[in-house]
Amino acid sequence: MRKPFLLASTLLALGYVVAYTQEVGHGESTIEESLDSLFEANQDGVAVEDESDMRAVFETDSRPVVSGSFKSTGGAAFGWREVNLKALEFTEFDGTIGVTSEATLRLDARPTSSFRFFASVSTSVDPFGSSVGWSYPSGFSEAYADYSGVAGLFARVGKFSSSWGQGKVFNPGDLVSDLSTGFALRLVVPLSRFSVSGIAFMKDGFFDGSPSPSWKDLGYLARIDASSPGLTVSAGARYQVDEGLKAMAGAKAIVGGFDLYADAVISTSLADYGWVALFGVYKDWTDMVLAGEQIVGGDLACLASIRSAVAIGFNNLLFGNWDLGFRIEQDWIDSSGSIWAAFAFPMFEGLQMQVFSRAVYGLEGTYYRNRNEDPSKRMLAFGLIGTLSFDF
Amino acid sequence: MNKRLRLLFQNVILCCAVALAQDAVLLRTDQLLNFSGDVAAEYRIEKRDPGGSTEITIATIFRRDEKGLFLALILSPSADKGKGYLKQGDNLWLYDPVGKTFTFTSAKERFQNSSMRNSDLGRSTLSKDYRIIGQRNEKLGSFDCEVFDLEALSDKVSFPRSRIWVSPEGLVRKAEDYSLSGQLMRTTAIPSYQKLGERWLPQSMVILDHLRSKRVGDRIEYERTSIQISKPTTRPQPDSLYTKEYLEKIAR
Repeated sequence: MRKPFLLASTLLALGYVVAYTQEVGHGESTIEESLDSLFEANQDGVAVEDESDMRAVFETDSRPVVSGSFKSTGGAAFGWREVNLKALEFTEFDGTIGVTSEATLRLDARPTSSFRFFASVSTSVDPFGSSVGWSYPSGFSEAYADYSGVAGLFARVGKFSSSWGQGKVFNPGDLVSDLSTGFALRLVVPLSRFSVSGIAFMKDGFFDGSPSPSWKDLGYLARIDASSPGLTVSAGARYQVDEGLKAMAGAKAIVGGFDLYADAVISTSLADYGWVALFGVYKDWTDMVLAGEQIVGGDLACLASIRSAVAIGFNNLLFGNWDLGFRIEQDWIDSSGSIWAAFAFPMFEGLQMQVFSRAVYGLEGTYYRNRNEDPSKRMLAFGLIGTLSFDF
Repeated sequence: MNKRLRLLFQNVILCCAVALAQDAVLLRTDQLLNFSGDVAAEYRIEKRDPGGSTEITIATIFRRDEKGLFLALILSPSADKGKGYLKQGDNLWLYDPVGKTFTFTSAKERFQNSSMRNSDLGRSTLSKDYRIIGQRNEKLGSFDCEVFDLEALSDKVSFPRSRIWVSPEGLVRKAEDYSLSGQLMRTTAIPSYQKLGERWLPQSMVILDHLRSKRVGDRIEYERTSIQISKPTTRPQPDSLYTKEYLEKIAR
């Protein structure tokens, strides 16, 4: 009698254990998302062709669009104007506070698909600067008209900004950085895989030496771009009778997912006679960005500058929305440099905070000491900045 | 000896015939999906983070498959309206209206940070980019599909290995994209197509990114991108549409 009872009990217990573990196993098993349920029925159909002009929503607006932005930046920083790391000496302590605001208004009118007018005007205030109160706008930041539609030609005339060159930290190839200070006419002829553009421009000072200004006093820019799979090349030049000639050439290739680029500039201008070459690498992984650049320059006699820069950025590194950035720049001729690191994070809608640390090193009179952007020329500084910004 | 030579010759012929037939399958798929003129449509792209938020982008995509061109213009969100991507062959241009610069990058990159790659938006190039290394039949819901294992012919494509489910009409219904090591990176489902003339355009697509996942309860959720394609048109577009200057012109 005992043996069958024992056997039955054991079997019952075993069965319970097996059932329990299966239940646990089922609860702990993971269900992976699958798309196969989307194919239960054939949902193919015949499309009804849309008759509307899908470009119109981008090219034309029945009314001019007024938009703008407002940005106010304030913060505090402290640090030392003189730092001797070998002796661990930190002298000339200094602390500052500051606040600036800037407002921009923009008008964008697109009455037809061929014509567009754009203008923007800005004003700013720096209560700790020379004058308390909004600065009177000295003119339009940009005001230009676009015309297109004749044999693919694109024309822009007025006051506008533009940018050449590929550098992220150093950008010697940007021969048009001062275009927005004057008035220019730009024409572009797109030709399949080529693009040819020409600019005629004028700015203050061009006509100073001429009793009767003529086309000879204008500045001229020309550029040609060409691209093939994975490679783009460009060449350009700038000439103005007083400035002299500057020529640039650039190339960019995508290798292994990395952008590799190079720019070279030669200048015959007496003000900055010589040559400059830039080499760079860039990669954007969405949550991380890496940029590295090397710039060398000189004249026919000698090599005058060798500088390097590395910048790394991490998006959403901490707490889902804190960004971290580093940038290091070094001049290998005079051994000066700068190091910058910052955390940026949103506080409320439109308000972003930044905690930063900045160091500039090198002897007095060296490249980076001369270009120290700190308002108090501190060599080592720590600070907190808040930026409130809105677009409307 | 003659018998062996004849047998060898017959085998070679047979292999070539099979390879040609398989190439014809991919070529037929490409022909069904690529248009001879311009084609444009509105794409509604909804990206859902695993267990998290949803982002919606609406874009108008213009394609000129014969020249390997496409232009994508963002309609929504309003902060991105007017931003655009121009693809010329394997090159992709993005215009930054703030910096007034063009960024030149690879078509392998993600579109608007979603699971879609920029290369998904252009013409179909299966026959040019892949070769078939395996084949079987499988039922996918209501579709009797042929399943093909594909191997990339060059490193220009986004994924070195793929597996595609092709329905009897010759349309790709599902695709699994793998890394070289065999890790499943992405699953794409195209449950419905719309016929436009003699060609087909996807009507809805769903993409799961297996590299971005999160455990939610007893489920593993992947980053999911759902695409609805509407308002298709084959209206001819001007050549100037597929230029960088056009991106600069319409940027805000």
